[in-house]
Amino acid sequence: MNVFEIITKYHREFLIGIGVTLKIAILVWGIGIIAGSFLGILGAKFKKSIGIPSRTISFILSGIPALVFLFWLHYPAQNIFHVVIDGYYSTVFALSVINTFLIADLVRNALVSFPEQYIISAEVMGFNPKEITWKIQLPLIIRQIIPGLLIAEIVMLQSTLFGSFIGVDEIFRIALRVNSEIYRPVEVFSTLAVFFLIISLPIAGLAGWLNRKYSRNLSKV
Amino acid sequence: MIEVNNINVELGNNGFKKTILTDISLKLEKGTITVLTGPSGSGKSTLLKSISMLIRPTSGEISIDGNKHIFPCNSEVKIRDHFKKDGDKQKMGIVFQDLHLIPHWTNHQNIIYPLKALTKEQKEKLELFIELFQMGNFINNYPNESSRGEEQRVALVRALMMNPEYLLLDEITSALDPEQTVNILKYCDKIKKSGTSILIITHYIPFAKKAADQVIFLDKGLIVEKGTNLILSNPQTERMRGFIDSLKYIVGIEN
Repeated sequence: MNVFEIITKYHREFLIGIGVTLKIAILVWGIGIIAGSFLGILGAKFKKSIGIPSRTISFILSGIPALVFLFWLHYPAQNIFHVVIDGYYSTVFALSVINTFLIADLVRNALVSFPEQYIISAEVMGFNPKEITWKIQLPLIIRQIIPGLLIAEIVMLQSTLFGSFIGVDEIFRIALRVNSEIYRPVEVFSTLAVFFLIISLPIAGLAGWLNRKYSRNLSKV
Repeated sequence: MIEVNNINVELGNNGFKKTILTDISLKLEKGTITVLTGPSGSGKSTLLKSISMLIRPTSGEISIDGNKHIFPCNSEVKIRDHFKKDGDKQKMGIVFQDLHLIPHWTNHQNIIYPLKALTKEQKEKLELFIELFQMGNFINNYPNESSRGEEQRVALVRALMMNPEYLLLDEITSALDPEQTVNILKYCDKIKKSGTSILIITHYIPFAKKAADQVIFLDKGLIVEKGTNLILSNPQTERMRGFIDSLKYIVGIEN
């Protein structure tokens, strides 16, 4: 059975798996980007009360493998609170937390290291604080964080695979199931790789386009 | 008129404070050119930023057209209103030594964006500047694609387009060729006649001798000499004489 035949025979299962993977990824991206941006802005504004705790949590999270964090959050949490939480929600929650602190770090660093001379220059040009934020700070900060943000989001997409270990029927778990039926690991996992490439390519394309459009090298030639 | 009375400026953290300016007093009257000169590290740029209140003096008093600010100033009162545009005029404009052009805007955008809507007169004025300062071949480039001299001209035109009543210029001709330098300094002389007051940090002594109404020599944060442009020909202190002699040696002029 070759890759094409596997896709033809199990396309329904794979589509369901892709659907679950994409749903998790979209939720993790959305929550992470929105919550992370807020946390990053607050962390830059209130350095002691929010910035330092947020950086500490971010540091701790970066040291713990995502899978361990997911397991820890899923099984002990159910034990401690005597509840049954669906693996899908545990995965979304765990990855969203990681993504939030990743994005918060990116945003906070971009804000804290923002060159003050541009703000002074804008002030001298007669811009008000709102104009300075929207016309000068935001475009420059977005340019600065885009590359890191897109890499983080691709990592998040790939991390959705960990959901399979706690029973989430995402694409990797589907691939494992198909493989257990036909035992064709090379073909099955090549199919999985193709699926990930298909999902990642538009994101990589978008990343490239955004990079070209917004991350023009602003340093001296 | 801008009046600066007995300002002192200390910079740094509480644990490590350094005195940059000591007991500085000066006046900038409308329709005059004041040349501020002195060795590197003497506090010229800090003085320019202090006059514009981008740096808050530790003590002293600054009055801009009667609007008095006494330091130390702990209130939240906005003290930088002089940068806001009032009609087609701005109270104070600055060109920094580091220029600070906005990097994601083209040179043209750097000039016109602060103006919001470009009027017909402003369009004509900009075209005039582009021609006068020979900016045609780089006006649509980004600052990172422009040379230092090109950026200096963009930053100057950006300030000039705002029609400032007081214009503070920090070594804006340092990267320009003599022809461009003369062009710009001649233009400064022209706008002075229309009532603009210019404070210019420069080591270009021939210009200072010809156009300056007031010359201030600063060293180690202190005003060592202050007077008309005649003090350039006849310095009263050893320190200024030595400095002027060095400049003459570099420029190759005698008088």
